[in-house]
Amino acid sequence: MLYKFFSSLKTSVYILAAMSIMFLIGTIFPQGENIEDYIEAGGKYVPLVRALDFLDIFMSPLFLVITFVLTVNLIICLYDRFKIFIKIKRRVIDFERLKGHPNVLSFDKAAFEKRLKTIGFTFKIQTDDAVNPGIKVYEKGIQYWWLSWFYHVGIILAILGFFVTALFAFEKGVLLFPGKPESISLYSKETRWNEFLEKMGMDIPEEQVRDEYVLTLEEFVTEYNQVLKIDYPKGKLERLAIGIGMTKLVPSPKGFSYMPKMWLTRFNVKKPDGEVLYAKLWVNRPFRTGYLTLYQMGYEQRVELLANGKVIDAEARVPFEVEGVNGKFVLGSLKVGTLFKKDGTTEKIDPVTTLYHIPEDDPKARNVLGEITLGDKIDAKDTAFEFRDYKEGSYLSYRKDPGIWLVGLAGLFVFLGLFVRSLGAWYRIQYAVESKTAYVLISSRGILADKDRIIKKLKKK
Amino acid sequence: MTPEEILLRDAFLLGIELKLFWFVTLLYGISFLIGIVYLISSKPEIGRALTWGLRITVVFHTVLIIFRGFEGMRPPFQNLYETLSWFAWFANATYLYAQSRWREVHIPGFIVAGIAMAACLYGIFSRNPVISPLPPALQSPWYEAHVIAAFLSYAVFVVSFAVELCYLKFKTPPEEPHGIFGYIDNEFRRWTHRLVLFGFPFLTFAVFSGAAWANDAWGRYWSWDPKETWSLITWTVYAMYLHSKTVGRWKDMPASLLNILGFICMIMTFLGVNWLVKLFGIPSLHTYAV
Repeated sequence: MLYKFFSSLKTSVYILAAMSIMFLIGTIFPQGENIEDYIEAGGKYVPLVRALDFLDIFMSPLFLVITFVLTVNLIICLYDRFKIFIKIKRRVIDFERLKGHPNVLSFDKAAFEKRLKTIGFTFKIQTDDAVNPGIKVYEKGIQYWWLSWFYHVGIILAILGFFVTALFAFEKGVLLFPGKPESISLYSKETRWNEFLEKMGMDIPEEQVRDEYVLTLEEFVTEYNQVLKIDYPKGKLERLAIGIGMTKLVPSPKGFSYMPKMWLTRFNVKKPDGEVLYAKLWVNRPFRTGYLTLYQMGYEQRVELLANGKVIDAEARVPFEVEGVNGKFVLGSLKVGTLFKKDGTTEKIDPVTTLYHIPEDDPKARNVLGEITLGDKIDAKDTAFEFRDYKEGSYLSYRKDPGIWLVGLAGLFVFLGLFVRSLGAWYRIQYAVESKTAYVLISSRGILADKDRIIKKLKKK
Repeated sequence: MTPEEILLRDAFLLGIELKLFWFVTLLYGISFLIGIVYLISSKPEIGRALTWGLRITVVFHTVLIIFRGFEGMRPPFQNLYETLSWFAWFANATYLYAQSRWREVHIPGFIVAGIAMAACLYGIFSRNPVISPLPPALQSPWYEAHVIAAFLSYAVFVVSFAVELCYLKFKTPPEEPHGIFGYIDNEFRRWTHRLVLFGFPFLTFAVFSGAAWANDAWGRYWSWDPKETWSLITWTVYAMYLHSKTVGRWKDMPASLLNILGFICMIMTFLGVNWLVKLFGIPSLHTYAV
């Protein structure tokens, strides 16, 4: 009974529906948020959210149960189909049914079998019949039921990989400033597995020296592209006027703007065995050595300002106060590095940032006070600001994820299996010869399967 | 060239491109109107005019996309403005390819024209067309393959949806030799299945290549980001559709409903997520696509 239930495709569809609902919930409720913060932010359905763990839905008991049921369903379906594919050979039609089949085709028997072989068919089986002619079965292409089986194995591997990741993976960040080495470890106590061990009252493995790497920033490079700035209207009618040529599109009087081109970090890595590697990485181009992989995640900019004679160490985009002045101030991103201009040339950017004022009564407002370049001064809000110095730090992340290779392998299984199954071509020809005629039944699967082409080839003399 | 001359040149080219985009949108609008007339009159020659309208549109739309690529000197699917245009073009081109195989049936073109027109209007009314170079996050070997696979699957699902709706609404009764909009029979309906079967591996590739890309960029192949999760929902719904096609009693109406639901999920993945992210204030790693 249970076996029948779990080997049914209907069950698969119901489970997939339940999974979809869980995914949907995960896109509505803020994942990873603390329940107290959720309540404070005016979150709804609190008892339900708390009971069913909607703020961490993808590790909630309900989701894990559904995933487990899906895995059981997949395994039993695979076992069930495997038995069918191996033990019960695909049934061959009998002669009377073949001859009377509405899709049966007739060919001249002369050299028919030879033609089949010429166009790539291989002999599979032949039936014997005391009264009627026996049926011969030929096939071409990979048997689609095995492909289907193959990518379902891939899905199980993917679930397994996800599970290993969820249990054992961890991710941390490190902020590197020039000349200030930072140590990182490839071991973390903060994995779900360790949390589980702790809950069970078991010992958690201690961090060891062999897990430690030391990183030293050599250089953090920022590059910008020059981008066309156009005052494109927001109004629909004004846009229509441009579209039908009533008004002309003109460049903004501000000219060009800057757009980040690349953030690159040059650094060295001292490995646990003492070996020092010189490395560089940038966005989408992580650095890998042994089990360590480092990623460019962002950067931090600190500006040293002199405001009314006092030194302020301000972080870009983080508000700061100046003694005796109402409201707060904030600096925009610091533009520094190389500018790649539209005319193909490059130039060094004089470090420049924008100073904003945030009024006390409107903390969301950002009133521009002016641009300020390294070494320059501006007077605003009865305060003299001087841009004295700056430094940039590179923010890298690193992660250890033992599940990734499983997911990668699963991806290959699923993609290859699905691709060949859906887009490939598989043919099965069952035929029997009576006097001078070959009675032929062709079945096919896959988008590229073209019976007419096969028929044409078989008819070719 | 001086910076001022470059500015003027780029503004001039963008002006031409915008005119062309408006023209293409107008052509989709005309095709859509022809579709309405066809719906009312059911005259075969108007149906043929609808298909011809879409054929002419795809030519101009191809020119537009090439022009945009030439302007930016990169594949033109970086932001929502570009992907909306790309989506409309892909849907139309896929429809025209499929339509060439069933010839006598033109009515799904009405739905495809409507969707393509809506996508173009959304692009030109709501998005900024200014061309910018690829930001660091998009400079990846996975970029082109991921986007092309995703949009190819979306286009195929649009056509499958259009065929499904037409089948449900205009199927030829068995006693009639010819329906008012051509042979909309079970054989025609098989296209919905074939199209999804074709699009599904590409959607799968889009999901996996997105994960591989995320792994290179962020060190995490899966973050349960709303965009990622919706792509998984779309994948799951189409997987349900494909399974339902092998279950006797679910082959007909339940499968049709799942196909329509799949289309809705696909639109959610492409556009609705942006709205959802804003509505619920959920942080998303895919903000460049908004």
